[in-house]
This record gives sequence, structure tokens and C-alpha cells, in this order.
Amino acid sequence: MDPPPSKAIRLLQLGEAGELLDSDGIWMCASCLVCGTRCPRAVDYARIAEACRALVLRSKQSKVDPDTVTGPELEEIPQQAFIAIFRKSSV
Amino acid sequence: MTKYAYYPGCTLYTKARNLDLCARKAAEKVGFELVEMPSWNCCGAIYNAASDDLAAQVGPVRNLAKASQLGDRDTGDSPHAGTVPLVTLCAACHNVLKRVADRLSQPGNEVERDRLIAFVDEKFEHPVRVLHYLEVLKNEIGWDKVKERVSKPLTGLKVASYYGCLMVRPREVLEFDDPENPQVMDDLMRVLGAVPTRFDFKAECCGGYLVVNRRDVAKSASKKILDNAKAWGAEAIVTTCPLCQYNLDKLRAMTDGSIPVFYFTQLLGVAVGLGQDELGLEHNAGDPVAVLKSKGLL
Repeated sequence: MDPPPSKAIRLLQLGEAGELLDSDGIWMCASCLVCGTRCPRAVDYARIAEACRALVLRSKQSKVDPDTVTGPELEEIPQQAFIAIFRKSSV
Repeated sequence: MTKYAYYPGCTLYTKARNLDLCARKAAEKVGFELVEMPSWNCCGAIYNAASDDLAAQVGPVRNLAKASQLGDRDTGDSPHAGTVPLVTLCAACHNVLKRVADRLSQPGNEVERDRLIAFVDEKFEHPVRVLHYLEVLKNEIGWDKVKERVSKPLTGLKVASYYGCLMVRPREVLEFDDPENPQVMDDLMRVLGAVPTRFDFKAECCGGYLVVNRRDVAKSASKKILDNAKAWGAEAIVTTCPLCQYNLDKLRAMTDGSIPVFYFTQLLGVAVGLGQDELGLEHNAGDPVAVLKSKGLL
């Protein structure tokens, strides 16, 4: 995940939100909540990443275009995964 | 026999039939019945943490409203008196429904709650208590009673219990188990006669839905989990999430692994004496039969 949660928070502290919004890292967060559960400062990074994704998606930019997701394995993947990825990553 | 309203969710009707069928049949062996709730819809598959995105809550709210209208609710001096229990099996459905139910009940969220309920155009009659099947086994039926129903103990089978993310986090809402070292499935495996192994990655992320567009990410996350289970000597892994099962089992089958990944309901089914044709093993990848045969269980 680039940037990892620690670096992402530092970017925000330094006022570099743009760099975070352009990064791949916010889309690699699957909201597993491990980081927030372990954070000694109780930072809920999964929610911050959600906010960053929302800012991008609300500017009408999709990160994952359904037309580009192809391959024979798609027949096998549980459908909950498709609902989740498109809710998280497309407008 | 106690009846529970049951929310299966979409995946249990298709890719994860083996999770659903064994669960219904094993429940009857253990002493409760799952009654599918009427007119359910998609749970949304993933919880949306944005506080202003009400549209994302509509699906789960409608399900909860429909469940709230069911008459069978806890009574008497139970701490849950007046609530409608709703049983889930899929970890994703459980996570979303439980978190949305919690969100609706939080003080300060009344306006949001009223707007959502008005939007889905349903009456919300009683609070809904979202319960996972494992919680029913542990807290409502009790391990002793489950143990009494074991006719074919899984003696000697070394099992790593994989919980993933959705069952245990956020801890304060799910109230399921320790988010770092959960034990419920380990306890169940012990009750069924199996040997739970130590497992360092039992609540780490398998990559989840990133398998759709970033298969490499899900593959490397799942490999770490499988390698750790193997290192601790596990002969089988159990899980309760169709997506974890897919990532660990199907991706494994395409690599070099050798540990079968079962749903916990399949091993429960074996132990309470369901027939091989009721276990849905044909939906698992690789050769799930071999390890069960080697222990004299099939």
C-alpha cells in the first residue's frame, strides 16, 4: 500500500492532501480496520481513506471502470466482491 | 425447536451454497431452525463509513425494517427482550447489517434514521439484534448441547480457524470476539473433536474484494495467511466468509497450496452426521475429500 497509513496521515498533517488523493494507496485500503484497531493514537485511517475516495468519486472520476475488469476467473468470484469494488471505486 | 429469522444474502444462493446448505441442515441436528426472512434484498456487501452517504445505507435499512416486522422476538426477562433476532452466516452481510443496525440505534442519529426509514417506506417495529450463526451456537444453544449432538468427532484433525476482518472489526460494534486473537471458531472446532492449531494470521486481511481488479494483491495477502497456517501444522482451514473462502481456496488451488479451506458449517455438518452429499464439497477447490477420508470421516 503506497502510501501506507502512517505516511498518509503525515501527508495530511503537512497539508499535502492532493498527493494522497492522487495516490494508489487509498484504493488499496479494503477497510479491514487492522490499522485503526492497533493505532495507539486511535486514528481511524480506514475512514479517512473512505473520505479520500469519496472526494475523488464525487468529482466524477471512477478508479475502476467495469468495462476494464475482464478474465475467465470473473465467473468464479463471489458476487459480493463485485458489489463491493464498484461501490468503493466507481461513480 | 427454536426458530430464528435468517438472512442468507446473495452469495449463499450461488457461489457459497455449501456454506448455506450445511448450515440449515446442521442447525436442525443441533436443535434450532433457520427460517429465511421474506423479501430480503442486497445487504450492500460493504459498509460505507461516510456519514453523509445515506444512499449506501438504504439496502441494509430495508432488510432491517423487514426483519423488524417479524413477530418472533425475545421475551421475558432476557436482556434482549423486545428485540427481533436475525441470524446471518456470510461475514460481509453480518458486518454490514450489524453496523447499520448499530448506526440506527445511536443517540444523535434519529434524523438520519427517520429519513432512511421513510425512504424505504417500511415500518420499523422492533429493534433488530443481528446475530451470527456462531453466536447462536455459542450463546443461545451452548457448547455443551452442541457437543451432545456430535456423532462423528473430528478426532485428530488439525484446524486453523480463519476469521478475517469482517467478523471481528470494529470490535465495539461487532462485539464478537477479540479482534487480534478471536476464539469462537477455535472453541467450536474443539467441541467438534478437532484440534485447533495456533494461527498468527487468523484476523488478517485476505485482500477481500481487491481480487476483482488487483488479483496480485489478494494473492499475496492470501498466500501469507496460508503459509502461516501450514507452518503451524494445520491440515484444514475453516472460515465463514465466502470471499475469504474464495481468496484462500480458489487462489490457492491455482498456486501450490495443499490445505483445503472449508466453511465451518461443512465441518460442523461432518461432525453432526450429515451425509457426504449434503456437505457441498464439490464447490470447494482442490481435493477437500482426501483430508476427511484420511481421518476416517467420510
